[in-house]
Amino acid sequence: MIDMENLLEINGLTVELMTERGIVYALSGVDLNVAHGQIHGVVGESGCGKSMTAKSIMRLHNPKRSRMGGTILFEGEDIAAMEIKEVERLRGKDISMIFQDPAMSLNPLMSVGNQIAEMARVHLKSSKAEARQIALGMLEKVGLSPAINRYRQYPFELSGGMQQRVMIAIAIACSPKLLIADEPTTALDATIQAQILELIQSLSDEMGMSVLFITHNFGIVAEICSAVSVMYQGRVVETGYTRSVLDNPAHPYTAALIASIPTMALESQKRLGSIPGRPDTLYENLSYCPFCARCPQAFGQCRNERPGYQYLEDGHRAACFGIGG
Amino acid sequence: MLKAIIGQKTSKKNSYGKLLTPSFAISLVIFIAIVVLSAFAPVFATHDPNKNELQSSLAGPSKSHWLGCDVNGRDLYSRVLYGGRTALMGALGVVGLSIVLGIPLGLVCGYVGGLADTLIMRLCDVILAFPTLLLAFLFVATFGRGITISVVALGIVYVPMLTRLTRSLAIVEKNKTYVSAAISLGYSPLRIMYRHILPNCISTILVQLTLDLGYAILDLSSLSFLGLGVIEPTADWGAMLGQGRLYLLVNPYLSTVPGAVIVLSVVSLNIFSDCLRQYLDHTQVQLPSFEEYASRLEKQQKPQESGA
Repeated sequence: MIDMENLLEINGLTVELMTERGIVYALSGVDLNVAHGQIHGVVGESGCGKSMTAKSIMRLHNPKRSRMGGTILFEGEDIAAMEIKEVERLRGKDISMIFQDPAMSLNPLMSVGNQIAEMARVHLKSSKAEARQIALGMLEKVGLSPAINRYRQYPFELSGGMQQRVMIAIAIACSPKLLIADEPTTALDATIQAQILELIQSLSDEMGMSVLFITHNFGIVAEICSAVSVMYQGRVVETGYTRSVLDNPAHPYTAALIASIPTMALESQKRLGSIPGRPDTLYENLSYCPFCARCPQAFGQCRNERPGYQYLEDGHRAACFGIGG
Repeated sequence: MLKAIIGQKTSKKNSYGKLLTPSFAISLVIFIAIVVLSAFAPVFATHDPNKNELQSSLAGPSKSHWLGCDVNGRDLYSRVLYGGRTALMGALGVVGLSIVLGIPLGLVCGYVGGLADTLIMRLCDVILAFPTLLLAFLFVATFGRGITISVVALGIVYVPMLTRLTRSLAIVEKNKTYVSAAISLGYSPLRIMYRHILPNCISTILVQLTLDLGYAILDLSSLSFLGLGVIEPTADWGAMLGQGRLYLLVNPYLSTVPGAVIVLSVVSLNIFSDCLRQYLDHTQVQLPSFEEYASRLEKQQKPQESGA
């Protein structure tokens, strides 16, 4: 984007998946940059490719049933072209991930302390005693105290918020450079959400860790993300600093998304905005703007050509023919 | 870990599930008695199990020979105790061998899949296509008689069942989120198989193993009964049953006592495994009625109050 010192640079990432009904073009050209220490939000509706992008960074697709194109540069090295052995070395140590449902993502039969310690044992090659110390430290760090007691507890003994804290502790146990948070607060209630967001933000500040924050909630983006990318139908349609995107959305899709955020203001008695229509299936590789069918401003060019990025001030860019035209 | 397996349905203090149901307790007591009597056979035995006293051949029960003597004048009571050693050690060997081979193979088949899965599963199908004892006969016919060979033969025959079970459990676990989480944390497949998937399958495997233990006793005895297992003069329930059957009218104890012991040990193991399954299976918790539970809680609280 603006910073030349990007930790993660995704260029033209495409992912095609094999399904019974044909090939799904899950991602068709994702461009996304995450700077050092930045919390970068990825927003979009269900099925737009947010989680798919995260999975691609971790290379979690079955290589026999999918095809990847484009580059994923992590500290200058292309993850997309790496041998799987090299990716395994990055996973957990340099790039870590937390998932939507903490209750499902923890091993139900291992004490949470041991699950954190296992990271240190595997990636930092620490001794049992060292790993235990690291795990205790991590438990304190994510606000689970007294750590000694928490260490021995099993996931089923903890609440959802506490489980997510444990997931975060596991993910950051080896001080990763990039944390991918795949809707980490969706399964939690609102007050716990706020606590988890605060935790992620403070950990990012403290450790200088970049975060790729996947969500479908613009409120969260406004709260903790310094930059944001909006995805639609497997593409990044708009990207820029959060303030600039929220205040001046350039892409009609972003504008429509923002218009459909509920507000608490009493004077707005009008109906909540919604986007008419629904996204197409992704069984063909579209050669036109995927949003044109739902776009109020669509014109002839939109239906024949795929829009490239139009650059606005301060690294803000959007893929729409309507800008500056 | 047991705490987590059981704890998901019962908390420590107000336990719903009762482990010690009457049938569980009885089966456990019988089995433990058999294990203790066999393990300390030299202490409990009254005679050397292999010493021939031909003058008391086929003698009935008496003060010196509690259950009488077999055709060679060996004390039946002592031989039953020593025979328990053969049966239990043999069955443990069979189950141990099937664990060592079956669980790793099942994990590889279930988690890794692919060509290895196909090959191993087809091999299992081949082994399963033969009746258990028939295949054991084949081994004995090829490699000769003896307790070691029977144990190895049955051990190999028992592998496919355990492999299949472990495989199916591993496939279920493999598709759970915590396994993808473990992959994304950069853990090696071996670690994921043994540290994450296996512990989550272990409760079902454990039940199968106790069941197998009973069947192994039965199958080993069958081999010995047919004269393909132990070599004389080693004491073995199956062999004793086979030999005693010839003198059924002279001294019925010679065949009925070993037979009864075989039945007791197999039945107690079967009931034990069934209770274990009920206890470990989350979906089959036998809940007490609300009133029962409330009164139980009341009873639990009363002693605490009077103490304070």
